[in-house]
Amino acid sequence: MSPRASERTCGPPRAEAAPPEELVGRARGGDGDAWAALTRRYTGMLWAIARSHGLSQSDAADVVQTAWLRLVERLDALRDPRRVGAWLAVTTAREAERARLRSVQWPPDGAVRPAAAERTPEGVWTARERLRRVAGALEELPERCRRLLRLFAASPSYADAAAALGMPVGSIGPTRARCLSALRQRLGDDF
Amino acid sequence: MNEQEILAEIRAAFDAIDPPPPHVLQGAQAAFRWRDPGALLVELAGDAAVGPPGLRQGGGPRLLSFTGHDVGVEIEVVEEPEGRRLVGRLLPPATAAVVLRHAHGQLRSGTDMAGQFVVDGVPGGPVSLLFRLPDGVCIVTSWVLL
Repeated sequence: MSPRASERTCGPPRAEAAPPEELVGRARGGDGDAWAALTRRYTGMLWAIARSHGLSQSDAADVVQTAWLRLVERLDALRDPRRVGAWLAVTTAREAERARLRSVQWPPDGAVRPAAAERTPEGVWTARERLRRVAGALEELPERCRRLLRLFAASPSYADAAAALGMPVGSIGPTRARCLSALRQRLGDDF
Repeated sequence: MNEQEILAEIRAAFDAIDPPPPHVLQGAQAAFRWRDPGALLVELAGDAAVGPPGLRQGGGPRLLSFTGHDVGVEIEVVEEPEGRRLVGRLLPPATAAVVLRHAHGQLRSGTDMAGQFVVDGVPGGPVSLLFRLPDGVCIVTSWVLL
């Protein structure tokens, strides 16, 4: 019996699938690929956190960069490498809050710019149409729900999402369910 | 549509509306080059700029202090017409080579006998100072966003 294509592997171990503690361990040993895999896994979440604090693109970029530099400087001192995602989330949220307080420019320039949606490939009409509907439904949600769903969608794990939101893991469930149901309602039955 | 599917749709929507600019990921990857496991880290202990919005509208300098490993670093960030200037001192006083590390490179300076130093033309964004003492010990300040 031949293995299914999805089960076949070759070459060096795939960093994308490795658990965070393994990537941290390899990065501690100087493995740049493991570090790059960490940045690919978490940068989207950190960006979502910084932007959900109302920072401009440029301030958000500085905050995310600062969080990664902080991780570099204490990579060896990190107490629980399994929770590196949560550590990054908390660090980013704290830096974002400091940057917001310091910001001369207040309020910051537009929190969300829908113009970029036009970058989706032409021709993939259905995908575009779905995207437009999801974006529209998200726009109609209360800010609290939009933020929660964004951070949830951008977080690699439930624990990371809890840290990104600054909420205890146990208390998120009901709010999350309510926000998802509000979104489904706006998307309609035919979605 | 199950929960994982709807979360994937939400992720796709935000990726289209407000994706992280490519330079953010590149910067994250490049951060690894600053790894220096042998350096002693001194952590941010005080930042006089952080307070309620509007409190600093007088434009006073921002004061930062770092401590750890029986070492202290104090920095004053002065906004000048020709650029940002860092004035600081290393405690206890020691002569040391100073390297200011920032997102796009580094600036060099040095402390005098009293441990005082000045770095001119410092760009915005995250910065960190490295002190190389005569005995070869390196002290680095935690990265801070200017």
